[in-house]
Amino acid sequence: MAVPLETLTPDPDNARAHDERNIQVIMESLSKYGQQTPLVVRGGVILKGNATYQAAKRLGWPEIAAIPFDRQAELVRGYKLVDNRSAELATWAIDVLKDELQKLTAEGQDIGKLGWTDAELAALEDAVPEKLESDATLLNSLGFIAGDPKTKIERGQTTQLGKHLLICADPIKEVPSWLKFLKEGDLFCPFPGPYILQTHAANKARLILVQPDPFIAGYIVDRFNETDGRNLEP
Amino acid sequence: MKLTAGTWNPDEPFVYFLAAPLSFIETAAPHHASCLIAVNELMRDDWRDHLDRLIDSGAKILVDSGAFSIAASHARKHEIPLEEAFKMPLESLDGFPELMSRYKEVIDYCQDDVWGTVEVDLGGEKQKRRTRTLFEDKGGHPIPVFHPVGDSSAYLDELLNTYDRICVGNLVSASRYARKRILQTILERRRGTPCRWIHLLGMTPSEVLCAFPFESCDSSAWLNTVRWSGYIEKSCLRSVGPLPKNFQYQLGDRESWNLGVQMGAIGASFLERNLRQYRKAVPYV
Repeated sequence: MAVPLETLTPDPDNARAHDERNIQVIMESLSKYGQQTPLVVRGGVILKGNATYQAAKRLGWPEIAAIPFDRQAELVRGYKLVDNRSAELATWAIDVLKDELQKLTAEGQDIGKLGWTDAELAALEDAVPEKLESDATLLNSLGFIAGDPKTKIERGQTTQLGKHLLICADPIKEVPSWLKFLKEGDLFCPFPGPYILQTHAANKARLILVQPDPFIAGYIVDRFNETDGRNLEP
Repeated sequence: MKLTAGTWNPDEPFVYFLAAPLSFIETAAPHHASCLIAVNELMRDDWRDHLDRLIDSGAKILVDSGAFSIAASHARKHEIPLEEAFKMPLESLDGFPELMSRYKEVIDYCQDDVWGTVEVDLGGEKQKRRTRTLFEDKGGHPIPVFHPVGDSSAYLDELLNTYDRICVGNLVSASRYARKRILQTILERRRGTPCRWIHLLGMTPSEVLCAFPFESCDSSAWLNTVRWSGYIEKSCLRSVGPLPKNFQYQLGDRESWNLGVQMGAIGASFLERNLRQYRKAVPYV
């Protein structure tokens, strides 16, 4: 139920404090994802969602979704505390959290706006994994020898690697060299790194790799050959 | 203009320095020999041997004072905010006298053989000037550090007009949005100054560095291969995606862990090479 913001009153006895960072994160969330959970109100006073109300007000929202508290008045105080406390008692499943953040990062989303500071994200990176399900079979298949790549690639050369295409050309100055290969659904990858064909992206789409440096192009081919295209999650 | 000490060449292309503990650096060196070593990593007795080996192998070494690490560990131990630790009198930070003594030894020993030495960037502008002058009076030529969050723009101008190169520190404390504005501002203010090189401390090469052509940076993100996130491949320095789990090291297997570190170093080396290629293709005007 949409309620005009001006008809609502923040709870004068709210036991939860919301600092600026908290409000900013909620503002980001409301702006990006919308309001997915309604406020709970009784007689116009907000029992649940006081910070959401503040954030919505600062965003200039005229109204907000709210539902009435449908229990007896004597249950109000207890409800307000247990609602906050029950959320507070939850903990993060670190492995899953890291995995989700990793996926968001890979999708190019700014995880800095989800409520973690850079320092907190860095601390999370250093956290000891609770489980690491890898037998390193693919890592062990890579040849880590410093020096020239085994595969010699020349400028202007086009190499088919499975369904993918590697073009050794300047992505900016030699556009005709790769543009003709690009089809709908392909992923255009200029200046790709050496493990590009081992990423999940390479499973999902055909990659058009345009690498001006024959040295890096040679390494891309070497890595592809070493892993024999085995870039699927086991 | 004041010249900072070291083997650096102002005409060399972009450099990515691997920041990490010494043991990681030594494993990575055959694949990527540009590294940032903090003095707190050189507190052991055989520090000269480690440095000599790396220098003899032709590694580019940027020596960091380790002051940030000392302040951070003091803050953790005494449960005070990091910002508070940064503002404290230097002498009252745990381990500071020992660190400074070793920092001075390192400068005396090899400041001309390493790529550069970062100044002790603790305290406000006055404190940093005082500390730097102290070292300069004794023959040290460290690279000054500008902290965008805290230092004034006048201080930035002073450094850009006085030194041949500077570092920019603590960018992580700025929001991602603010960071881009800061980087652009620094580049604009640098125009027409004698400063030839700006190093971004604690910054990972990303597509941001395609837009803002700073000369070098360092970070420990290359070690993601042996961290939770694993290796994330990039195209045009933008993340394309992670690799499957079996590219990660096997927990408890030292050999596998070493391979993971090497993979990170190779990735870093190609990241640097790709940014150099990009800058060649899209020169900054």
